[in-house]
Amino acid sequence: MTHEEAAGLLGAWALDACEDAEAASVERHLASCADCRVEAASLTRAAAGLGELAAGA
Amino acid sequence: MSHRAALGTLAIGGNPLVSRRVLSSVGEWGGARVGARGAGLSTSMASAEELRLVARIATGDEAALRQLYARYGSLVYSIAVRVTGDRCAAEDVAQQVFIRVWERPAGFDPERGSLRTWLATLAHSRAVDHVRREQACHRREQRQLPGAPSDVEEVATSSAVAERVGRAVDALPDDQRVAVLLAYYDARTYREVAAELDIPEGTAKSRLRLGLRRIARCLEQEGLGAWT
Repeated sequence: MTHEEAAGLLGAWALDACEDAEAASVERHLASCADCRVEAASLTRAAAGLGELAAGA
Repeated sequence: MSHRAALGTLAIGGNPLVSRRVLSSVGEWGGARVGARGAGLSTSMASAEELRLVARIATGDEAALRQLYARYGSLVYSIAVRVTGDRCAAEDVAQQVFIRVWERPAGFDPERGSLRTWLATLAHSRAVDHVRREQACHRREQRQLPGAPSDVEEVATSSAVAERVGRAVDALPDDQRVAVLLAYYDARTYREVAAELDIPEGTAKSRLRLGLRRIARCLEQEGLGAWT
């Protein structure tokens, strides 16, 4: 998976909205790309924020 | 499957007796919801403390596991019940999450976010797994179309964090909001989001990414970057 492909999938990945094989490819890319790791961490925090919304219900 | 039955099948590594006893002792998962509510912001900056808690769990400290549960049980259960729409399934998911932490505490990487974020992430991914497994087993009736956005708007936000996230979600452009909420709360893949909204897959991917980015930015601007 190229950097562009992986970066394009980061939002879906953070939302658990990729197919398993794609998620695995994204994670392989993350292991070697610091920029994507930073974005992935930030998007993961945002997704976890959506979980707070569920808890606030 | 009841959560006790789930424990019987899941707690196979590590220290099953301990985890079964500890997790059963808290009784109904729903019962923890009230007590854990207050933990929200107060634990926000506690990364050193979080590390200590996880380190204690790694040594097999049951009290630490109970503390973790008291603090985050409500969050984990709420996410699971919202995504699965099923209290029994949510109990199983919550059990899986805490058993996973008990058995593999080293999975927590403080570089990638707080303990709270990690647990929320585990809860969501386990809940999504449950929904997808169920869909694969018996094709269920088409679930309701995007009722999610209005559900979310009606949420009685009892915590400051949820309130801020709610504002961030409200501020999203409609197309991004619908896509993000479908993916997160209804366990849709981006392909399913694309099909459901009748948009190209690439568009679905970018709406999810842009929407989450905006939410992240809102949280960071409100000084919640450290919390999460």
